Amino acid sequence: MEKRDNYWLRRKLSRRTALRGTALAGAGAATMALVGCGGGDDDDGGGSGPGLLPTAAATPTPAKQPKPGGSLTFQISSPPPSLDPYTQTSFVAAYNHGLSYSKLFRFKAGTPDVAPADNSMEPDLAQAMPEQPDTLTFIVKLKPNAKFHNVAPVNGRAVTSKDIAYAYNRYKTYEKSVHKTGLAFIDKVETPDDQTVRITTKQPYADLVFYLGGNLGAWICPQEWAESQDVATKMIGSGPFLHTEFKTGVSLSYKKNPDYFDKPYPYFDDVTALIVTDQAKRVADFSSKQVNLTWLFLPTERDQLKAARPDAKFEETQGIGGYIYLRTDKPPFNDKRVRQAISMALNRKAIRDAISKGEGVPEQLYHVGYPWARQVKDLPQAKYWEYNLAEAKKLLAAAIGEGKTIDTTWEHADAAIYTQAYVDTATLAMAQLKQLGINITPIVKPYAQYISTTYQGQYEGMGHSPRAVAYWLDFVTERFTMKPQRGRINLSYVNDPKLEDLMDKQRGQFVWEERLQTVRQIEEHVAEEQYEIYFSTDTRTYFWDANIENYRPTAWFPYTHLMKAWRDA
Amino acid sequence: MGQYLAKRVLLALVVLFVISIVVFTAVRMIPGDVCKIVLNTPDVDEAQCQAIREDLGLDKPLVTQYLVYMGGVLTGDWGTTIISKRDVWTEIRTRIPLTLELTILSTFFALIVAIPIGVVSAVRQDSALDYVLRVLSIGWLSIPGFWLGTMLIVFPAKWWGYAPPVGYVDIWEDPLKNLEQLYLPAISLGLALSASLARVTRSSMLEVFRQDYIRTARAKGLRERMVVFRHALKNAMIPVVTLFGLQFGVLLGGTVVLENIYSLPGLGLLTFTSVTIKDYPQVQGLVLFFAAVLVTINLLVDLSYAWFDPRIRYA
Repeated sequence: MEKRDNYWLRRKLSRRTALRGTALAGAGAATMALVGCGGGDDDDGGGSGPGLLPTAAATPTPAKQPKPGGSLTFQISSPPPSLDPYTQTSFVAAYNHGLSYSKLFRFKAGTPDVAPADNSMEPDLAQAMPEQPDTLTFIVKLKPNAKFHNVAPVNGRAVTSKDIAYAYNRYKTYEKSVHKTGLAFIDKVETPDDQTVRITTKQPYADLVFYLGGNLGAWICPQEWAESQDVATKMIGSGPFLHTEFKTGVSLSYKKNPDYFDKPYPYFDDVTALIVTDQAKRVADFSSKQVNLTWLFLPTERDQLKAARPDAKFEETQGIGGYIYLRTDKPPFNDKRVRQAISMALNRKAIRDAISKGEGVPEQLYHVGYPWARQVKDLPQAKYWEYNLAEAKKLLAAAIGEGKTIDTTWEHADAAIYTQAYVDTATLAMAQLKQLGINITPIVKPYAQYISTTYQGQYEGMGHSPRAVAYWLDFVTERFTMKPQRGRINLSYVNDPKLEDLMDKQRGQFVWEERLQTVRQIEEHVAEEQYEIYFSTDTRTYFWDANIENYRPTAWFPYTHLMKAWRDA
Repeated sequence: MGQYLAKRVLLALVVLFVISIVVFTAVRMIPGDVCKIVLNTPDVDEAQCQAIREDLGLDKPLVTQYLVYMGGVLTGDWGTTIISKRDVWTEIRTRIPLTLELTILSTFFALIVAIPIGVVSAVRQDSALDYVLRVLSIGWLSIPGFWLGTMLIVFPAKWWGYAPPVGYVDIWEDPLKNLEQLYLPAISLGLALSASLARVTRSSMLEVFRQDYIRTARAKGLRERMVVFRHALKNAMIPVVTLFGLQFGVLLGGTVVLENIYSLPGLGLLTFTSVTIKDYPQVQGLVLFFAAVLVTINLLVDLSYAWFDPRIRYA
């Protein structure tokens, strides 16, 4: 393995030793790019190419003297539904949480010297990475100078282990919490003293640091604020920026937290997140130099922005990767030959050409993005990703009978949230599958309706969603298990004992090489079964002002890392 | 007049009552479970949903829910939004000024374009100028506001690197910046309205020009300008004002799209967002509010007829 300083590699090397000092290092373990979470508004990283694509490397940067002060304005594409971290998995909320809340750990990525899709963690509220006296126990020491914002009701009091215990318990037990299953691996959180948190897991759980450092549900929001009515519209935490104003539908404003525990950060005095839902306006605002940072542009808009702002820095990312889910518990999709035929009848290149100027990662699998993950072409099942209509027809005929066709439905959301590219992908794919002999009636739903019905599994036939991705390996469990308290978005109704065993096994494997073997078995198994049928991804590009230093986008949206950036002018 | 007014107000209240029932019922018939919208995740269980339904009062019979809701509306309590827990009426009230300003600017733009075009077109009936203006107005009528709004963002940015200032400021804070933020959406919204108003103005003016009193005015030697503006235009305004009343709903509908495009936090954007996240109380409140505005506007339009044409009397 090339990433020898990865956390879990080091765990293997000194298994019983405390993990102190430095963070999860490494330009390594690039992982799936989180474009969103909850509601399926997400995508992945992976493939090849520049920027956030997995091969993007750390960029050595000449040392410059940081210049504190100034302001930064960036755009978000929709208003956060709520700012309460306990009841949200919205990725839009997560960017803003990252500015005002802290976690035990955080991504290292976000500066030029770290590869953007490197999922390594570094301590946030924690002094160091956790000590692990046994496979079930993680001990974390808190930074002694960590304080909440100096505003009522917390008034700058210290962050203690009790705050961590309160937060995790609230995530697990609060009736409106959306993170119950995510943190189900935690058995108990103890607080031997104010600076020490002892987390005991129900079973050996190799992804604890990644999950608690990621952005799904680990923000530490103090009890005084969490139980306030205003938690939905204002953030009071211990993060680098004080949340000062939320103009509904317009912007969220922040000021530097002068008491931030992680000096010398943050550098900017003021940060503003503008809510701009219209893509053309986002382009225009950056073209007219009214915004310092913007992102997620498809190739057409990217090229416009390159022409309008040749001075700006930019980095390409792997964009939305949609997938088809289907009722594998019922005919005809319970026959894997039908699913394989569907995958082979999709002309992914034609879709890429139509939607993203041919750009994007041609094929994707479940762990694409990690440097250790094999590409689809290297799998024994690679043929299922190759467009081969004749072979697909043979497979289908073998499954349902010669000359027979399938009439089914395909449910998907409208373009309001997932963009027109997502809807166009569905339209093109349906046309291609008609050539195979699958006659599809599309059912298009408003996003809110889609997310509360189809995305809850209330559908027949087929559906289509942007890909749920994550920065922790065990995310496959969420996708494919039927076990209570673990399965979260098993939309394909997968009920596969062999896969369950493999998923259970990898979750508790702390020795990386051993876990990798299991993960590869999972890859091949799900590739063979085609439980989810993936499209290509497109590319999305981030732009930012040339004079913003020490900034680089990450594959995961939280903007905590903005605290490390400054303006050189 | 007083009797007529009382009758119309009573009728308006009946209309609003019916609308409130329709909206209340329709919102609850939309497929999908509100608790999953509130939580924004599939990661929910029945206990969570039950708690949320109780919290929202959705566990009560529909009639009880309606009575509680309307009781609240009548006493100023329009409920709270589902997710952000904001007060529904406060959300509406704080956004009225922007949408009002946008609709006033759009209307102003529409009128200053439409009336001159309509009048000139009528005065110069069947001339080349008339044909040009008619073709132009038909062209404008066929341009959707959302398309024009997008084009007015895209091309200035592409050609001159220009875009209206970001981050909405209200008119009292910085009037110039505020106007710079609103003039493009106002044009986008007002152009189609101006086209239809221009066409109605023209035909109405032509109709009035054929009236006896116009012939009389000309016969007694009044200047043409006086005939057109004092005698003809005012009387020609009745169909124009009627059309404006009817089009006001379209104007409000247009704000939903244009406020979204221009990131203007008015009632239109609130409507779009609320519908997207299925915020029942907010959607109900907005529809009820829009209905009340439209009913009021149309009442005012009816009452204005007497001012435009003194021959009209209300029994």
